[in-house]
Amino acid sequence: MKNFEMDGNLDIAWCPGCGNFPIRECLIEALQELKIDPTKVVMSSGIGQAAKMPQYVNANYFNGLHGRGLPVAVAVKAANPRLTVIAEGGDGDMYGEGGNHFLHNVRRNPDITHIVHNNMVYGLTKGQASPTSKKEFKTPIQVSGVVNEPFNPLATAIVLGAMFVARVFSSDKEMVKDTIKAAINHKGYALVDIFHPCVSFNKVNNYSWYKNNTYYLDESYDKSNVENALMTAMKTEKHALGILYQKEGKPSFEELSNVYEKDNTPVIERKRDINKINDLIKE
Amino acid sequence: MKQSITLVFSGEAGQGLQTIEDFLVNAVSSSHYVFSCSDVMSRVRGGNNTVEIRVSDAPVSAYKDEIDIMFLLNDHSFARLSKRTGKHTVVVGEKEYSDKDGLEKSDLKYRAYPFEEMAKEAGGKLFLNTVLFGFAAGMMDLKKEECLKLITDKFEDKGEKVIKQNHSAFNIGFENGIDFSIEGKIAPAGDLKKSYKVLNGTQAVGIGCLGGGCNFVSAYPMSPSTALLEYLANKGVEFDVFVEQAEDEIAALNMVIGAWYAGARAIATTSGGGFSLMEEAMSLSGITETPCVVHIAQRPGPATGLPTRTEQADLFQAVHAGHGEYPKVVLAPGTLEDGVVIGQRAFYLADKYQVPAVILTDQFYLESFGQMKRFEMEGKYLDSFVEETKQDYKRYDLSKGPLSPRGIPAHGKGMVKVDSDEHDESGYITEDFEVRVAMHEKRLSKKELILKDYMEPAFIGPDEYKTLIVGWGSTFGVIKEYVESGAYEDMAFLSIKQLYPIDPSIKEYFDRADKVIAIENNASGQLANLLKLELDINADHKILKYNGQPFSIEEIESRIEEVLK
Repeated sequence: MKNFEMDGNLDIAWCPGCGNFPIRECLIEALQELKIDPTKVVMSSGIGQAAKMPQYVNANYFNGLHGRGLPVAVAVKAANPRLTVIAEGGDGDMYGEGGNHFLHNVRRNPDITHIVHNNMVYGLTKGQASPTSKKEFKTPIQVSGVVNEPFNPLATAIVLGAMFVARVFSSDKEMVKDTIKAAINHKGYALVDIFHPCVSFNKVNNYSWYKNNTYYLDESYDKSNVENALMTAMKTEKHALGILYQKEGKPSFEELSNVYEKDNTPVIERKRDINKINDLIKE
Repeated sequence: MKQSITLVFSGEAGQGLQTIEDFLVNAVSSSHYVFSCSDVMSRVRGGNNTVEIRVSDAPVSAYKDEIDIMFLLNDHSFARLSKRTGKHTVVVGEKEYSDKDGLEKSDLKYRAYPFEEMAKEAGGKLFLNTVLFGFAAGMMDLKKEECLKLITDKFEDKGEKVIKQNHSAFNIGFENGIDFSIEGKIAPAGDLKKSYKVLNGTQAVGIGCLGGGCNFVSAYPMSPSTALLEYLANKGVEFDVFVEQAEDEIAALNMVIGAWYAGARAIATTSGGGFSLMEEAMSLSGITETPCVVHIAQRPGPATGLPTRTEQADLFQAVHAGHGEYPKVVLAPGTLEDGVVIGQRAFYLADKYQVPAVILTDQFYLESFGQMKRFEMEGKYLDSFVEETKQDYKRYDLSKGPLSPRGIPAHGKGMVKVDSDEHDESGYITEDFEVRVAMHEKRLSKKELILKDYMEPAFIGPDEYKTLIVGWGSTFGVIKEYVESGAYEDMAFLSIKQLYPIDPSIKEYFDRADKVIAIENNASGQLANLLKLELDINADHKILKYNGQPFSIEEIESRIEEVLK
């Protein structure tokens, strides 16, 4: 079987103890267990510590511009719907710089998996506030503390019609792996927001903070109830962990495109006949 | 000597000027040479919009200032045109318009017709534009049956009644138009439909894109670029084009690049402001060596500028797009045929050289209708340069020269790893200075390779000349008409189609001239400056226009005379 793990010694650019390490292991295990051919997987990312993930996973990747992981991912999927496409990055990359793409790709509902490492701080640029930073969080820029309301990606995604919305914590590796698997298996856009600590730049939201400020959704939780999911997402004194919302059956962005209505052959595999185009000049 | 007559229809947004243009240009084109362009305000209703239709007995593709026959569609559509009248100008309109809007002070010939009454007779005021079509058709002795058929075709989906009412409106107009005598009637030039196709610049570029294999378009609406998105959307199902209206221009070009990465041939269409937002992605295309095609439909800037008017002020923006240094291709069509061929070439060159390619047009080029000699597009532009990958595939393999074979995901056993950071041969991020230099030089050296496919400029005039006029893009028609009019026997015209990279061999055209005049629709002479920068060519004079309008034939004449006197 082909392996998503890299050959040889990896020189990983993350800080020791970074929450990105377990996420990487979970992602690789999830892909491995799903028995997907790595040559048919495309990872798309922007810029940031989390966005370096594709460097450390053996699959196709496009590591593009800060904030632009989603536009690339949705286009890859549209051009060749047979690929498994994962867009991955951090909270600044995906919710800040790429915020507009986040909003509109949830609306599009492309069949891609969107993994966002959410550590409530900018790591690569060394410690500024991120869209998800809590109020009063002090940084070298927000010297008196953050005043903006933290961005709520889960509630936003639910309101915009996302059909798979989950949050997990990087320390619970089993849950991270299973949730990524469920997200990849879900047809349509799937958001997996992963809480994880930044050991270098966020001394407030550390391991124990996440442990003390999260709870697991219990077995009685009905993840197909959208109102309930929204209420759960809106509660932020303590953050719920698990799949907050999932419902199957909504056609994906690519499926709804008129070029795939009658023929699911990827557009990139269709041959163009110059004679047919020449008819446009003849007519 | 070429004879031409210039008709202008002046009204407001929402009065159906485009319908008149569409009908009349098509009707006239079967027996005459024709060119039309419009001047539209940035509003959906009201204001003053005009359509100019120039009919001639020889090929024509330029805008003329002086109006022969001016049709007024309301009582406030004269004032803006008052400077475009001459001693031959005849103004046609309702009787009650004749003493309003400045007309009362003019001594122009005014011919009053109750067009609104005629429209009502046919079924309502709505039919005014069909009445005017009929009137102009009658005036020019066009074949009535052909005109009626155009109406039938246009309203096919609207039902019998609508067709009948429009036919009746046309007939009423036609009967009145027949009796309207015009000076210097233009002789028919034979059956032109067979050898010429009527289309505008947008359609030409659109056909070219399809002929270049375009199968993906993503764009954010912006005048005057949106019509290309519409064209491709309309052809999308028939020709397998995935169409998406992006949330912004940044998404549009990043999507286009993602689509190319996956194996598509994709384009983003935008105008200057939208392109500014795309520039970071241009640079992304440059370093990742993922091709992309962008169509820039220029309009006057800076910022929002004059949204519905024309300008050629984004040449430098295109040539110097994005941060850092990387090669790119910039092509600008002058004729409709150029639009088709450049549409094809942009995709071909982007694919072949793994670079961004820009198609640079403008509002005047895109929205003007003309006749294009029918020709067969070459199929070679559809050739794909994508290669199947082997297990140990390296996207940026340096052993193959500057053009590392480009693979796409799931096409072969290899993995396609692409990075916007500086990268090694496998696509992994590197900060090794030697690798950086090797990769940078590999990318930059593609500029020389691209020149092997240089698209030759158009040259008009005698082999021996003293004065050389140089231009690019949409000024082609008007400068050509002037140079061919024979005003100066020792004058030639060079219109550059591939603006970047620019082939040093074209310097020879300039070496042969005593005097070089650059004519451009911008305020600084961007082509002249580019020629200086790239080839050390000096323009002795720059004739520039930047009020938002294209050059007219009269203006070219007077301004050339001014610099040559």
